[in-house]
Amino acid sequence: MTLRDEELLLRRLATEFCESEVEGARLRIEREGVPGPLLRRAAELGFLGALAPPELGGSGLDARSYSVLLQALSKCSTSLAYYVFVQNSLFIAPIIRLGAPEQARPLVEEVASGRSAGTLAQDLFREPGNPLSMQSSRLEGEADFVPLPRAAHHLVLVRASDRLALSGPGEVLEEYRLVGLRGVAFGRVRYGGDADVLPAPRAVDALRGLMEEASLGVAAMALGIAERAVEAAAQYAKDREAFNSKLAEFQPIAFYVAEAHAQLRAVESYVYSESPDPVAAKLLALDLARRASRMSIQVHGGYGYFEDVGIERLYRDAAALSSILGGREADLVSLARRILGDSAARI
Amino acid sequence: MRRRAFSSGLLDMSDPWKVLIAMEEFCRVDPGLGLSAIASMFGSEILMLFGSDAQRERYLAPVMRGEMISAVAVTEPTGGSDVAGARSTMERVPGGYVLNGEKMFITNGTVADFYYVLARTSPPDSPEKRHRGLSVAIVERRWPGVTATKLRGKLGMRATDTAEVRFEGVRVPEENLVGEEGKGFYYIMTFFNISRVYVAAQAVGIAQGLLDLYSEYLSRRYGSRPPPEGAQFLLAEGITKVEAARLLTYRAASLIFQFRPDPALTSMAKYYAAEVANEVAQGVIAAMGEEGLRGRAEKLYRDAKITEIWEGTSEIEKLVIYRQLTRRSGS
Ligand SMILES: Cc1cc2nc3c(=O)[nH]c(=O)nc-3n(C[C@H](O)[C@H](O)[C@H](O)COP(=O)(O)OP(=O)(O)OC[C@H]3O[C@@H](n4cnc5c(N)ncnc54)[C@H](O)[C@@H]3O)c2cc1C
Repeated sequence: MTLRDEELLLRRLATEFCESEVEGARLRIEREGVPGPLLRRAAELGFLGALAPPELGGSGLDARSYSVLLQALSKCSTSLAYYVFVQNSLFIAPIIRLGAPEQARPLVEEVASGRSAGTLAQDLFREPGNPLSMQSSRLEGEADFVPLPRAAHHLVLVRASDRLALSGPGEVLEEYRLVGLRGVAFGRVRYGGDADVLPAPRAVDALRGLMEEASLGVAAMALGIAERAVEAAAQYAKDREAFNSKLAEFQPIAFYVAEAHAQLRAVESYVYSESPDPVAAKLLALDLARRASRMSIQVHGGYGYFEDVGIERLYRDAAALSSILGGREADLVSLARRILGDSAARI
Repeated sequence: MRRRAFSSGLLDMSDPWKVLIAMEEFCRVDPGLGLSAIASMFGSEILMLFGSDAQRERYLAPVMRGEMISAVAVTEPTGGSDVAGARSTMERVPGGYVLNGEKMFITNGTVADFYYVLARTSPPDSPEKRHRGLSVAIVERRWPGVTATKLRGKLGMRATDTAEVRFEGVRVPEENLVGEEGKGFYYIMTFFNISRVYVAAQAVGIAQGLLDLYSEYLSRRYGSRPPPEGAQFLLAEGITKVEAARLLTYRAASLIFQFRPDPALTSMAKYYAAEVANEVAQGVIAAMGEEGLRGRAEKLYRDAKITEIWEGTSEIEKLVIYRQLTRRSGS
């Protein structure tokens, strides 16, 4: 994988930010969410508006650079990376693409500057529960698995009218943490107030398309997990002794690291290739993240099981990322249909 | 809950099958809680096999009534796999020993009434004979010089207590030495060759529990319609492996319970069941979509990992299997 100069620069910026400001706050982020000052720094560095155009205070990153950013952040804190991902892939990108310019502009500016947060409520990947409805600017109904349920601005997919609505915060009925990404709250939200409608028709399809593009971002975060898992395992294998030898001297341990390293480099080359298929990239990177994080805990032995060592969270974050925006099955179905036609994977 | 598990006869060491099945079924539902109940008698086999009558009376009997909690303190900060590398020492003094050392990741560490501690009583003759000169002693938690510090933030099995335990100049009376001095490594390995079958049962239970949840998820999602074949296969492959792991576990257990343990088979059961539990956990968590990210499925996913680590990592189990095989074929 060869990164361009500006991509290398971005990676250095993100990595330095992580090392100096995020690493120390890692456990706090997991327990209490991303602290305000850290979000302000992420905004200053242009991360919260990564996909927003410069004239709206954003960084105007292309897909590859955005992946570089997410991978670097995820390597240190996938929760923080996911926060950035929610702002960009789940709020800024949809509102720019599907909203009217006068709707999008002020909100994108606000979110990119970190003054407020945006989120997306959608049920593309599950059987819709309580259906949402939109009647003459009144949004009604419930949504579940909404990231950052207390965000100021909610894009809400209303299947019944095939539109995206833009709403203020609803009533948070339940707030919870998932297996991983614990620094990002999720929740069940009740909407029952005025909302704007985004002009774009066929919102379900449009949003599906956007989520498919966003899959590359998920792949990048999964790569960050795998990269951290492999690097930490390699370092530990060189430092730790058992039976008076370094762990790295034992073939099984050395092979675990070597194999995961090879797979990481292969998937990484694909993710950063000329035109990766985002869904294929996501599938490969997540499979790798789950395997590599399991391997890394194993190499760390008992220590790997404890949160202060920073390895067990990789295993949890890999699981959360695997299902949060369409699981493995949904990805395989979509990939299979592109290769084999619409009736593929039906039975 | 622990006392009820004993008084109801669920945990009855005179019938080890009951305990094994209780372990499996507890783990199918809630490994953390189940473990905290059963692990209250962790290490008891050491006294059953190698203890004196007085020790059994004083320590084992109350444990079996659910009135005392025991713990096994083998692992040290510098190593768990290399049991013979233990650096804790028990120095002989008139009337007993003085224990110094540090133990790590000790289940029940802050709640146990006493620990079975492995420590060195004499230096090894040579590096190859490191497993000699180690001894096991019963050490009470409330004795002077014992400090247990709870370790927080575990991936899973969060209902169990795990601690770092320090021993500083702890006086251990002669009568608390288990069996003979210098045979501790053998006692602990004999114990692990039994206890590992219970870990295999944990893993079988966890894997079964995950498949239970996955089939409930499929019925919720598809009702009376059959799910797509991808899901059918995931379930079929999972249940096949779980059944294989269960049979291996029961076979190893049946030999142990007939007092003819086969350490290779026990290690096979532990390694394979743990592998299956983690494979099933990864498959199910990725297949249940958002529903798998909360509640019992994610909990079992987190609990599964420990079965590849405690009481001998999967790597150590494979080394045991190889060693036993070559020993058997006489090479
Ligand atoms: C929640 C929890 C509860 C525990 N409870 C107890 C308890 O009650 N009592 C107790 O004594 N211990 C307990 N342990 C400790 C546990 O048994 C050890 O963590 C385990 O034995 C591994 O030891 P270690 O962590 O020192 O890893 P290490 O021994 O440092 O091993 C690190 C890695 O290297 C591998 N490795 C080591 N040697 C070799 C080799 N020769 N070839 C190939 N690979 C090798 C290991 O498999 C592992 O993957 C507990 C641990 C945890 C996490």
